[in-house]
Amino acid sequence: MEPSNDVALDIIVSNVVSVFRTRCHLNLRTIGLEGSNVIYKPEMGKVLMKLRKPRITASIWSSGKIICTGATSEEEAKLGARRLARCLQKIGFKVRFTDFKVVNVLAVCSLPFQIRLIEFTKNNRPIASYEPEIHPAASYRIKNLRSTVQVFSTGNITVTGPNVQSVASAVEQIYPLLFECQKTLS
Amino acid sequence: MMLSSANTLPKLYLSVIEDVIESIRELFCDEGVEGRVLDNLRQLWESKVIQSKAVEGFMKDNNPSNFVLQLPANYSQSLHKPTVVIPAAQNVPSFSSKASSCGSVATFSLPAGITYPVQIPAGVTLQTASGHFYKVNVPVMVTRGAQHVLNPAAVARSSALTHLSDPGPAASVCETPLNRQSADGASLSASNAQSEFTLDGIEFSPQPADMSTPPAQALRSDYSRQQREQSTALPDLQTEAAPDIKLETELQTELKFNQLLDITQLDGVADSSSDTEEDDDDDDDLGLVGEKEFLGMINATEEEELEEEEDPLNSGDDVSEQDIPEIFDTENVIVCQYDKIHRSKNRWKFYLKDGVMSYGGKDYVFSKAVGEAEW
Repeated sequence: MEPSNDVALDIIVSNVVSVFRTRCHLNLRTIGLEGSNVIYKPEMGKVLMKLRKPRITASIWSSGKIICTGATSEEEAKLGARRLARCLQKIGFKVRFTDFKVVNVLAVCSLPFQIRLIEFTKNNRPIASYEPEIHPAASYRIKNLRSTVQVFSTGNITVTGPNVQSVASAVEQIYPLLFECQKTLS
Repeated sequence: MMLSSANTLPKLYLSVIEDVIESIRELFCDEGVEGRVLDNLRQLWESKVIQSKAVEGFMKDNNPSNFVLQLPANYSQSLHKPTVVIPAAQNVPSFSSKASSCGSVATFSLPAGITYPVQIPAGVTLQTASGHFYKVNVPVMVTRGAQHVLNPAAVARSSALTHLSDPGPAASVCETPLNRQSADGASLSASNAQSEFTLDGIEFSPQPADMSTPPAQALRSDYSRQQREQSTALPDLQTEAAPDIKLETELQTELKFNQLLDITQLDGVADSSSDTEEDDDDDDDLGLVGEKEFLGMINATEEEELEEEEDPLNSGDDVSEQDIPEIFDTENVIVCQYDKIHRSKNRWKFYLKDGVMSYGGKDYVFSKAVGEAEW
């Protein structure tokens, strides 16, 4: 069976996680009291600040490190992070927007066929690993892309990687391997 | 919906006001502040509550006019009708007077529809609906409480009523200080306080009553001068439409309050102790933003200094959220304690307790409240 190259797969980026530093100490209590849309978690030493557009949630530490989650694209992540820094600036902190980096991208994809996981794992040792008692999906790590694909027998796959490009490449790379092991009625 | 709250709220607020005022009375005295200031504070407070219209029925109208008058022996012979003089303008249905078996005491109750003011002669014992007994030593004029409740300190000085045994709990405004005898008439002349006080929504003011049988002639001469002065002022106060005088007095009391600013404030927003160093444990030291420091908010020129090649935070042009300026200027507030606040994604659930809420301009009090919201 030849894997067709004309298949248009919908890779949906569901989450982009990014970090940046403000290079200044942040008073979490002040942010918790004066910021809008904030949740102060003193037991964890951080403040969550949620933005409506783009819809992101940021964890803010007093060291000035901020982790920003929930964006649906890398550009959105950066925009959201800047808006967040701007919010902190308005509260009165001397923030700088430095060291912005996207650290994780999560995408899902629904393949039009089901997959025989045991066969897939056998064909792709040791890159693929499958432990049904622990987790119902087989995981496939692509070292050079630093990405991981989780394959479910239903044909749904989730891909995590350091950026959107590597995620897309990972899907392309794994598609033919999955196509081979699909569950056809033959 | 919240009818039950409307009934109990005025009493609750009044009791709060009472507690606060009484518990700081001593402190005020220690600071050398006149007790009158405290009473003015109380008046101001109560009038503000009424003005805010956040509470219904704050006028202490709750138990309107269920008075039971016990007439002393003098009256028993003269009348079937009581000598309580009711202004002629009123349409009062006849009293139901129940002459008790021993003719020395006749009791009757003022009908509910009575409109005030009502003059009550001396020697009459009144029992209010709440069960308190008051013996009238000097002829009094009973009026319905005007806009604001008058100060209990004036109650202390007046002696027109003597508070007899108190069967119920001490809920009344003028309960404690009324045990003085009529010798306090002299002190009354010394003080220039209005000798008015309220009692369950009814104002008593000692006034010369045109009674045929005034027992306390001597007292009346003491009062007469002040009564004349007061009686001109009192009708103003007693009418419902006297905003001007009230405004004036309020302005004057506010001016007095400004002079109190030299009292050191030990806690709260503007406290006099140093505030920066007491801060949290974690967030001190390199506190680039102390509580005072970020008062110097970054203005536009400083923002440019923050720009570098990599991170021009554009002084907020494109980058700023430009707050979807939400409807955050609502005056609807809830102040309470929480049992649990829960959130899943953007669904919030609130389990609250022991709170007071101002919603739509009205106040509500609750012991438990549950809420759900989506962010």
